[in-house]
Amino acid sequence: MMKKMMSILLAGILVVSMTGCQKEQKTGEETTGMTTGTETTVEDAAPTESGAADRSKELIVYTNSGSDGRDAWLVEKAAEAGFKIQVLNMGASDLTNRLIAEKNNAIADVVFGQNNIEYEKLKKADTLRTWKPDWVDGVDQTLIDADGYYYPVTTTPLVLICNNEMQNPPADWTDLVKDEYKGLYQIHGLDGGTGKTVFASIISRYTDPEGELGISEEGWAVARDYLGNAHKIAEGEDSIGSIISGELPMDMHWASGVLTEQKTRGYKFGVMTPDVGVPYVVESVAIVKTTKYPELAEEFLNWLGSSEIQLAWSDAFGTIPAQKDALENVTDDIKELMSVLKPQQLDWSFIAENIDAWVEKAELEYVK
Amino acid sequence: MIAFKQVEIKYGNFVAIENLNLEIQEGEFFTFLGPSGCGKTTSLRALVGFLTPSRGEILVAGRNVVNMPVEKREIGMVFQSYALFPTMTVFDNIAFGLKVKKFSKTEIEGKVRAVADKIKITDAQLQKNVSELSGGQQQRVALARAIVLEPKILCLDEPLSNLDAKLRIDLRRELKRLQKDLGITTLYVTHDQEEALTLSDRIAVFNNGYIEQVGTPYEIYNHSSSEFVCDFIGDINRLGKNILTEINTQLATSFKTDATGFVRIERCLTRARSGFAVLDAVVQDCEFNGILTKYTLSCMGETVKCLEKNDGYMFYKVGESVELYIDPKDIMQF
Amino acid sequence: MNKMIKKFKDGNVNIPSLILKVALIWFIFSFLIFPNINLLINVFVKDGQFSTAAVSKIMSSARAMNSLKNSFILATASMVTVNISGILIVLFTEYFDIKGAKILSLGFLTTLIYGGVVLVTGYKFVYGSSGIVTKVLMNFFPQMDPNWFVGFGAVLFIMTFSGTSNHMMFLSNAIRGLDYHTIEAAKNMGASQGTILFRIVLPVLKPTIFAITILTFLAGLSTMAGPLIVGGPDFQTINPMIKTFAQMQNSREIAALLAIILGVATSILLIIMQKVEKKGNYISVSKTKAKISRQKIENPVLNVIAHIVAYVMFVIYMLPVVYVFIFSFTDSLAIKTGRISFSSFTLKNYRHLFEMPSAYKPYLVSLVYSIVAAVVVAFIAVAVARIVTKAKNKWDKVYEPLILIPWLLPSTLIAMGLMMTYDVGRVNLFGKVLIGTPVMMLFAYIVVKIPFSYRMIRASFFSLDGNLEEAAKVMGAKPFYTLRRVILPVIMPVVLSVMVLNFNSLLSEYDLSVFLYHPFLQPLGIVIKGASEETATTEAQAMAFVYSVILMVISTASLWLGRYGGFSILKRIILRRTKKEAGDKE
Repeated sequence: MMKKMMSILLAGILVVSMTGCQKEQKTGEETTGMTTGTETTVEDAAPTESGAADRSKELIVYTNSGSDGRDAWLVEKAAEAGFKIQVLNMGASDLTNRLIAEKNNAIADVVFGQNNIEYEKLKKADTLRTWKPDWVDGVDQTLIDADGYYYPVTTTPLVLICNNEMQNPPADWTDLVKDEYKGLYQIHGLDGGTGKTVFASIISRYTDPEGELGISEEGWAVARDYLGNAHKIAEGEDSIGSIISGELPMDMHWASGVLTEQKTRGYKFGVMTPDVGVPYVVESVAIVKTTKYPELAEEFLNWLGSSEIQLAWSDAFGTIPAQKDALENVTDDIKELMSVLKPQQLDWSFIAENIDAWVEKAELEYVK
Repeated sequence: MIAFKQVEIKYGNFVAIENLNLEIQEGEFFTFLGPSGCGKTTSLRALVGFLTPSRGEILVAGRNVVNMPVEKREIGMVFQSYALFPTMTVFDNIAFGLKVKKFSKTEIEGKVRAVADKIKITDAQLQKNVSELSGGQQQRVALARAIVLEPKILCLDEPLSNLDAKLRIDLRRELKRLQKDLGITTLYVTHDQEEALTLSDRIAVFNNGYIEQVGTPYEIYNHSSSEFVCDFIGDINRLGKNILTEINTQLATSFKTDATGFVRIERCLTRARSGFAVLDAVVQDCEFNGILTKYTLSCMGETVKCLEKNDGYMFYKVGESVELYIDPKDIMQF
Repeated sequence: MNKMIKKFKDGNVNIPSLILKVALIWFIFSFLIFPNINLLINVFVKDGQFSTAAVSKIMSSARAMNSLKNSFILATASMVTVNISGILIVLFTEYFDIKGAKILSLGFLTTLIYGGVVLVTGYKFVYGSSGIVTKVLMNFFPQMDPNWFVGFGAVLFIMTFSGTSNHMMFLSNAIRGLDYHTIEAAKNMGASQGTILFRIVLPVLKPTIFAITILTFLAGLSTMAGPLIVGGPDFQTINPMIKTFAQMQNSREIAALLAIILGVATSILLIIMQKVEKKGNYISVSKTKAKISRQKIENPVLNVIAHIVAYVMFVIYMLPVVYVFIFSFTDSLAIKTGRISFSSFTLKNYRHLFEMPSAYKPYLVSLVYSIVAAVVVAFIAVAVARIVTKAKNKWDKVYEPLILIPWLLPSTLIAMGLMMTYDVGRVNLFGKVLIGTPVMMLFAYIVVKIPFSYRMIRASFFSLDGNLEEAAKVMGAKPFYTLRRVILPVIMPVVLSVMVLNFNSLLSEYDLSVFLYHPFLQPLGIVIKGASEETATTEAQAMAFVYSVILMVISTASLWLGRYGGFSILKRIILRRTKKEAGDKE
């Protein structure tokens, strides 16, 4: 009885998976056919003249920077400029997973806000298309993807902030592993963008082609202590409050958030400024491969990434624009903070390639 | 009307009914009687269609119904638990079958009221929820529900077993009246021999998946065809070798003396009757219950019980010597 | 085969039931079996080779082993403590004569209207470093650590008092179904109150307690919010870890393997429970049941103790709800820090909610999804429970283990299985691609809620008088008609309870939704979680409380409608009104 049932079940699964494969191949052919077609048109048409695309069509924007009314702001401003858009906000890794899963039938037309690590994954999963914005000359050329898939709009330095009365604060992330700081600094979970990026910025300093996952033994020792000595922020915990009270006087935070918290709480944090610089998360824009309106998407991103809009965005939400002339006009708070920070040089493609494996190892072995 | 032909019913490997053969006439009140687990309910359920026989035929009006769906057999059924629908009112319970058969609203109303009237369910009761009724009232509803569709056959599975004694006798009487009024062929399952005897036109006594005997109450009672039947259906005396030999000598009868003779206790008498065997006995015990007095006698080293109507004589005392009269016609031997 | 043909000829094959069975088989195969097997194949077979790397990775991870151990410790411990508190609150509200039982039961029912992160945060407000309980305790023990509410004890404490929903829903039903005559009979035979409780009442409730115990164990295994928020470094459980790995493209085999370990443990437990359950089941022999009346505790000391325990538990149940409610009226800083001053109170959060153009849409989306899913789940659970309880052959019984499959897998994996399977057209879905369509999440909602619903509805089928169905059949009712008009009305209280529980828990569902929601139709869970993301501002976190309070209101309404006769009360009011209107016209 059992055997018979099992065999029928297995046969069923086989049949369905095989038909699934066939379908997959077919849709695969279709999409490749389509994309090769459009790729040529892109090459032919680039750079696109503005107003060439039909603006009555709606664009779907996936973003991880849509919370706190940012999505509504974007829709409104886009409408003023004549774009019809829908903005869908979700977490960074959810966004990546979703786009990869939707690979054959993506809802989105453009992506806005993801960082380099996520874009590298999206690129590898063949979900993006190449293009070139008209504002590309206005940004720091080192921030640009060499393959031409994604282009930066904002940068977010990640900093260590501490209680302003703290004696002898650390000078670099790697100092945190010292015994004197044990149990005194807070870290975000490695599943979130902040925690992951800071972790990557630390251990990618210890590259060793012979080492496990490309990292030397010393690097892993640092990782072990860095994660093991830390206080991991729990959901709903008031991490900023703990800094101010001095209970856990150090925490990592993104620069724009630091400024908001300073304002809300009426407190000025100490900010660590390591010699090597701090990791800058660069938020970029890209076009999804399966979009039906590539010209319109490009036109929209040309508008979104322009220094005028980026300045308005910064004034509204405290972000730090990648456009150099926009950066010159941001609020004084941002200018002041940015004047003391400098970007750490990081090998993003190396990080993107290995980060999942690093995090996996860390989660299994070092995280407490 | 109904015929079971070589019916065999199995539960898995267990044979519940082996080769059942039976015919029931139109309009007859027919009872399946037997102890629990004898197969009487099983046979009934096979007729109604809840069970499919593994072999044989069940004919209703000449047509084999073994593979006919339950609802097409036109049989009304009353369950031991009544199986009233707890979420519905009395009216809705009775009207259920009519609604299924898509009668019009007025027709339903009319038929339900007519049946309710016949079974003495008041208008106020019709609007109540069934759970608000007493056991006897619930029983009436179950009955009304079973006959409202005017089935050709009515099946009742121990319908009175959950009621108290007085109510049981009242309802029994009503049931009998109703059955005669409607003239409906009725199959009645019970383990209560008194119920069977009072109600039935004919009785089938079941034992262990067999029918021991089919007959009128008179036949079953007075001319039982087996030890099981005569034991099950009433109090019986077992006459042994001593008594039987004595009777044979007295009346020149030829009872087998190596087998038991059975005689109903009320057919053993202590007052003289002509043509009866006379035996000497001593009173061992005496139970008086009003109308009747039951004596336990010791007779030729055997125990015999006898039942006397209250006829004005003084009761015998324990230890008193009496004469015991037995009619040889009443003795059953198998 | 010949038999089949003969049956067809006689018109004896039930065509609707055949169609239903085929549809169920299709559903079970397409949504319960195939996606999950497809996922496992995808995860463990890399480049055409079966990979066991995950096994050694997990074995060498102290954290994974610890978390696994903790999960089982928590599940086992909570199985005991939740049953104690659950049975106590049901006895207090349904069995013993406790003053104010009605108000008490309102407090005990609060676990039904909120859960997850909101609930745990509520507890943290009460027992955390700036919570009222801690403050009071500090007065007496100035030396104590204000952060005492952390670790295993804290998690278990929260589980103990928040995991009693099923007791309130199902055990109280069972107590009400007790035959009071049995209690009177025992009294008559000189049994003490204790003897009656432990020898008569509780044994009768055993099947229900068993079913609930299984659910409690499963909840303990898969709990997420508790350990994350108050577990601290020393008490982390496995499910958060599974979720972390499930979301990482290349670590899914670790998530899957951990899930399989949990799944195997769960199946072993289920099998044992089922065996034990079979042995110890009773059938009520009472023909006429008497309604239960509350027992006054005769021993005055015990009576006082019972009252004290009941009211202390009431306070424990109520405090977090009250706190969440109060904090929804405070500014964001108060929420973050957990400290309230008089100036913290504001209506801004609520105003903000109603001013936001898109604020009500997530509610609408979640309402529709949850209602549809709850209804479909109830339908499937009823259908399968009926097929299984009426099983005529071995094949019919196969539905049961299959339909319980989602219990063995964490919802994250179920979501991924669906995504990875239906991102291309499959023949069993007629070549339709499900990814990116609104029905995707609906299917997932349905799938995860099936096992629980089935378990509860099956129990009610078993307690049904089989003659009811036969009675309807004799009167000519077709099986479906019987089911609709006779069986369903009888088991409706249980079905409604199950639907309410499903509806309430789906309203703010997050784990599945995050993978599967259609971008235009964001459900509440996503919106609320979005508000508590690390990048969200404090303002957004205040909004999460407002959302939660409104969720509680909706849940309370559904509870009232579905379980406490709300529908019939509404019906009566409407009827009365129409009658009155008709009367006015005359």
